[in-house]
Amino acid sequence: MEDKIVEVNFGPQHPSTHGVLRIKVKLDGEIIVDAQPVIGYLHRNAEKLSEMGGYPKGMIYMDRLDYVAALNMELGYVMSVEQLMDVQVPERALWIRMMMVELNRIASHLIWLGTHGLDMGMLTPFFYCFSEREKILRIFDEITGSRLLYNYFAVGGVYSDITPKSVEMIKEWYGNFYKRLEEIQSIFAKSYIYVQRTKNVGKLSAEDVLSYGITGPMQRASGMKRDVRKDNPYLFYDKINFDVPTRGEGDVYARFLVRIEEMRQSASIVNQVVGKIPQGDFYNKKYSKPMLVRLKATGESYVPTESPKGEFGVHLIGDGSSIPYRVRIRSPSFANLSSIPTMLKGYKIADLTASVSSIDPVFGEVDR
Amino acid sequence: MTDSQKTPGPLEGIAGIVKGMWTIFKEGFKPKITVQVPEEKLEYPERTTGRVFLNLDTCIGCTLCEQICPNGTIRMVDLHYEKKQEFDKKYPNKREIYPSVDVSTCIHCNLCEEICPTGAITLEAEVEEVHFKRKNTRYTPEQLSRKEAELWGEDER
Amino acid sequence: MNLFFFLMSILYGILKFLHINFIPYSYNGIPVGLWIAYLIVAAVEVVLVFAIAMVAVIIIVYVFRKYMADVQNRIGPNRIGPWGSLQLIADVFKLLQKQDLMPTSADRLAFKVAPYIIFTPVILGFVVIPFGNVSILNLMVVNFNYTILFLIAFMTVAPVGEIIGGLASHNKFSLYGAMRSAAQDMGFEVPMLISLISVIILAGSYSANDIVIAQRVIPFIIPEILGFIVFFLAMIARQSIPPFDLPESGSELVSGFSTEYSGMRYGILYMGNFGFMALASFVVAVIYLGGWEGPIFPGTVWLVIKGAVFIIIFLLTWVSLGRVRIDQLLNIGWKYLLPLSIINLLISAGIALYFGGVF
Repeated sequence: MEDKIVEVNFGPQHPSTHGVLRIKVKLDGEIIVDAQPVIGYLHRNAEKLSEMGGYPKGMIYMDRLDYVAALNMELGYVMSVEQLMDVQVPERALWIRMMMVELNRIASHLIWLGTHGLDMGMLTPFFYCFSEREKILRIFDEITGSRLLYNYFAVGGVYSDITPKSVEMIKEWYGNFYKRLEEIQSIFAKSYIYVQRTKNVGKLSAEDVLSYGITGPMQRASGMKRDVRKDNPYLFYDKINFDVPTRGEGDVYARFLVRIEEMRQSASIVNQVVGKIPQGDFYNKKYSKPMLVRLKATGESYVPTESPKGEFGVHLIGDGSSIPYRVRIRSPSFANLSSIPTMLKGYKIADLTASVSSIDPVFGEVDR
Repeated sequence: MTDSQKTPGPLEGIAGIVKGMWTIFKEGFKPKITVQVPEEKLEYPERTTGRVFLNLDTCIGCTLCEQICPNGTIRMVDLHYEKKQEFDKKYPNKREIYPSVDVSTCIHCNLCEEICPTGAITLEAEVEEVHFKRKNTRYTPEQLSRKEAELWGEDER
Repeated sequence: MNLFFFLMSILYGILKFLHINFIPYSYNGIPVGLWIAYLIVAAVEVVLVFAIAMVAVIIIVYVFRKYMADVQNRIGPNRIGPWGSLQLIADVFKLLQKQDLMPTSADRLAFKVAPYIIFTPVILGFVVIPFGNVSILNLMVVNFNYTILFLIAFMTVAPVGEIIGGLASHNKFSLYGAMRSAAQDMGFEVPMLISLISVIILAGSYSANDIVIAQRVIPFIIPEILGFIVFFLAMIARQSIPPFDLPESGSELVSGFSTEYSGMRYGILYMGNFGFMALASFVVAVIYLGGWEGPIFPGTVWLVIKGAVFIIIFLLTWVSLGRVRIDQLLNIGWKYLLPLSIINLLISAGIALYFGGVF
């Protein structure tokens, strides 16, 4: 008697795919035989619109790519534009940029932790993570004026300065953060149910990682110690002490541990930078309106940066006018998602949600 | 660093379950963080980019804000053709046009505030915009100069 | 004496006071008057049981929502009624006015009947729980010698309703939910029955009231700690509470077997779920903790207190633990719980032999 293979559609509307992802799964009983992802449900034309609008308007489209970690996206774009137009940035602005980017990395990983708990069936860590994230969003509201989508980095510096009240808020937040993270981690990390559900699930070996072009915490959890902040340091990462966590197994549990440790390292970076910001200008005084700098530029530029999901960069080609000829976005989640067929073959349905949530995709970035 | 952490075995795992339940049980005794909004107020910092405000004295009608707005939210309205304008004669600028904003499609990106040569259009910390019908969200220039608390209740039904 | 005779005597007293006498009336040898009296008393009992079940459901849903909000650092419902207590009634009214949707290719009769199969055993279970003892009156609706068997028989019907509901909706996710429900209930049924048999050996009878009276010496949780663990885990699995809530796993298969149910049909499933939680905690309190025995307070208060302890434990596991996978669930059921329950049976048989007969 031959087994029947059932084809089920984990469609774009589903409580646990993180956004609009469609996976066509072929099942034999409860075992997955094949899985094909289908994307494109959130395509909003960011590249063409930034090509039509010019360099200032491109910033607001970059914000909306990875909307949970928007400052990382702005950083990739603004550094590429500065390299193309040859604009100098004062030191105070660079230190401020570093601090904001690391705070945003912590906020993005907190969302990942909360929704990962929801996919595993636990309802309470979601609320704890979001209330921690609320404190960081209030810090951003104090400095930049918005909570989620900022338009804060400008060519030549940042748009507005940090206030003494925000420095106090950061120090107060830092005092409570480690203890709270320890409490949230204790709900997951040693619990037998969670460990049994995530050990040896969704394994990716180092060869798979290299052949798919996967970067970020997924790469570090499979044994390869690569981080753009250490290999090609930008901003001032070579003057700060921090570690890059790695693990060797490459399953969902390893990715969980890597991301939690990354949160701790980012918090220690924020603490070191807050005390070290020098006095000075926060934007290049040659341009009176920092958001609207439009110079004629020729050539190409690409600056890789480390976003919470992996390596992010924007490739710009200028043709001598003040509007770019081509804007091409290298988004990390797009490459990370291509590993779904390898990761899921031979596992069960329950492993599908665990594996997909450990990739941490954000679909604004995948579909652009 | 983390390379030396071992993964827990069964006995340690069951102790981990009990510890997790105890942590969550203790959380029930901490104070609640909900702010019940109509009765208690939320505070916004002063830099919050909320609704667009227009200073009718200093606007010169240069149309730069309409050109830079990314999604066509700002449109200039001509004083003589819009029947709802009830301006005093001291307001009209030389070109007799003013910007009107649809607050439901504004993305608060701050580009119009940046480009205005006289600083007439600004974004203030005002977030409580409430309307019953979608057509009431397109504000006339005169409505843009007033705060929200004065505008509640003035909609056409 | 039990509740039926008590109510009959009250009815007889009322009829005598009003000077109406239809009870000896008979027609061709058939005692019609007596049957009318039986019908009236039975109707009063049905209303009584239904009222107890509904009040239990309302209280449990309220406690659940407030407690879950408490643990998550937020306030639960607090606007409707004093401290939000009438929220469930408002929700029932909202569900009643929704459109009744049914997929066109679903099996119509099975789809409509399935929620009631899940809901009715809950109400029938409340019929046989002993609520107390007021001098010679046993406060339970029905009292005969085999009430525990009756209870188990009715609790076994509920998973059948889940399978019927899952298969009747023409949907692949519901199919998976129904199959998982079948596997889960089969796996946990046998250890549960074996641990019940060890309690029955120690108590000497199948009647729930006799089990409570037999615990005057010592509550059964102490000699049968293993059986208690097995029974407790099996009860969690029966009610589909996390960590064992695979048939209705909220985030994997969209809603398991109840994906296509909406409106009041879903409301009945929901109430059946929570009513089963109340029933299960009372059953555990009766069998293992001593039911209505207790020094100072009347019996009913003791039963409610012991039931409330178990309700809080069930709610705490719901709120804080994740979900296990289906093969790990079946491992727990067949590989770990079954040997534990057999060891427990041997221990209790040994205790019964040592003390020379039953309690």
